[in-house]
Amino acid sequence: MKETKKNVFLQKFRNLPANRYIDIAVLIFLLVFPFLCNTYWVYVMSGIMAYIIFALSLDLLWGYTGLMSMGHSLLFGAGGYMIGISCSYINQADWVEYDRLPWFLMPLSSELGAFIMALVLPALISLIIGFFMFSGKIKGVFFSLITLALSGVAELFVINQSRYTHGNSGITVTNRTIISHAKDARMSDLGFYFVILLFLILCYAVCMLVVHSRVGKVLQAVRENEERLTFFGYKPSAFKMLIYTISGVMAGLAGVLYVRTQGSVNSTAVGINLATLVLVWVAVGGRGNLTGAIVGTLVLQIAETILNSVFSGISADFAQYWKLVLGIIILVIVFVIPKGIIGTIIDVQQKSKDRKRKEQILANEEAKL
Amino acid sequence: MSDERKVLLEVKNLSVEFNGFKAFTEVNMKIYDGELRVIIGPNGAGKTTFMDLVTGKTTPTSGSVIFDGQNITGKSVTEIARNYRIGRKFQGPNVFDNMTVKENIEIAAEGYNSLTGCVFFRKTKAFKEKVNEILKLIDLYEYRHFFASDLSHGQRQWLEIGMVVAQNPKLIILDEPTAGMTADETYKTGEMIKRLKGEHTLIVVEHDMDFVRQVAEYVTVLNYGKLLAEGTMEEVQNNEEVIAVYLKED
Repeated sequence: MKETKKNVFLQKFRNLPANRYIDIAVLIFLLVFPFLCNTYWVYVMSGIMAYIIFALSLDLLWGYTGLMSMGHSLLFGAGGYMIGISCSYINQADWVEYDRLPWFLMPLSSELGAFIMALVLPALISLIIGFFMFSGKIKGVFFSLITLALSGVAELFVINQSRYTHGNSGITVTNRTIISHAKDARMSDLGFYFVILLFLILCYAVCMLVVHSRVGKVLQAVRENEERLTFFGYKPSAFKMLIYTISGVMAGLAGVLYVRTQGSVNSTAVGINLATLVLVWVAVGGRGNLTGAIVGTLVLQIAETILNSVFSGISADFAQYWKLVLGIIILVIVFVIPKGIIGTIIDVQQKSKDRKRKEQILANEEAKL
Repeated sequence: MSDERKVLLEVKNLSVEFNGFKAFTEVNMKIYDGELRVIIGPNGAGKTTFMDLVTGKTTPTSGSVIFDGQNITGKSVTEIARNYRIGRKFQGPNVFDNMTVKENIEIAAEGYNSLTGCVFFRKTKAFKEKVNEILKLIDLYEYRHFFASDLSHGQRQWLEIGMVVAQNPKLIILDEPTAGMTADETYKTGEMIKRLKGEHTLIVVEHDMDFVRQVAEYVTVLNYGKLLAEGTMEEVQNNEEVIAVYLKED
């Protein structure tokens, strides 16, 4: 009995799609990574993991639901800025000239309030945007362009509201903790690395839960053929608003973690630059399988860090050219494998499975005859 | 046809205009509960428009659609599908391509199409059995793990029929279920539809006259958005007006 149970488990394990093995490999890599590298890389990798959470949130929206948000950094930055503003207010940073926060930012006067606001505000933003867009039947490229514009507007807004956001210079957040703003509260690089890893695993679990539930299947159906779904009695707009909100909270969380680990937040966190980057990570890794978002972010961010230091090493004038090299690599990948790295691997596996099944079916039919 | 039977769908003086073009003019029609009605007519006769009007995709300019004793004129597609239970199969197979055959059926299955219904959905044994039953009905059980996009054209048509059946509607509307099928597949589809007849009321729109002869009992002929004739297959075949506009090519 025990033996068969074990066999069933092994069978299930063998039947997993290829990308689940890659997930496990990435997890092991992230677990041992800090013990093999110096503190600088641990610090870099912490940031990358926060970005992975951000990429996962976009994959839910773009990969699974087909909503290509070109301004997803708006939600990332909203989370980050809540922590930044709260921290500068509570610690009275030297540029702070106001005594009281405006009423709608009052929760930021407490540490826990800031953390909650950092998750609630992105949720509210996405709920409001979602409500107007999805009940107004805005679809496809128009959704992308409006989100892109919103992100651009948010960037200007943040720069203009320098009273609270310190304009172009951004806000320094010296304390590396989850919630506390106390000046001496600062976890080690290694400690915070594992905090972020924990959040990453949590977010990954949530994503898995969502995409394998019936809601997740309906979202995929929205991506495939939204109109058909209405003829089965579904209201796609409700599902789209739900996933946009979940995605918003996750992006906000990524923003919080990124700001905490990197120690500052500025207008690029809400801007079009980051919004485009995250699209590229997900596109290169492969949409709609979660692993693609993880691997894409990991590979491109590590490549960026290495290329950056290599090119800076050659000469200071040369420093910016790494972006050109990276751009060419991305173009080649998207051109050669439009489904992304992981998407292509899954495709190959699916094709070979299908071939075997087809052979089996034909063999059965012949046996019948 | 005796009028004692329960009327499931009734359209009264139904008209619709698109920018002055009269796609459907003053049509009156009754579909009885448990009936299999075939609608034929040349291209542009208003067959698809009729389906759009009944399923809520198009709002009529005048007239009304009464379903099961309730006026459903002008209600949304979602509401008609969910609350009044009218299922529709589209002309080209209209399925969820990059999802497996099984997932396609599961999405269509009745009763879990609200947001809360989906959130609290659990795959019960009864649900799995029902899905498997439908997969066997449409002869795609062995193909359940294939993506819908990898099926043949005929299989995709069957898949969509299966999805509509999974919806368990009171009225099933099938738009050219045999389009693009081989003769063999067409015959198989006919038998499938005959099997459904006992449990559902069906409206079938078709071009293939052999197929119509296989399944039809009572036929409605449309032409230029108007009702041309109604009757049994034999009556319609012998109707001179119908022969003039439609059956002559046959």
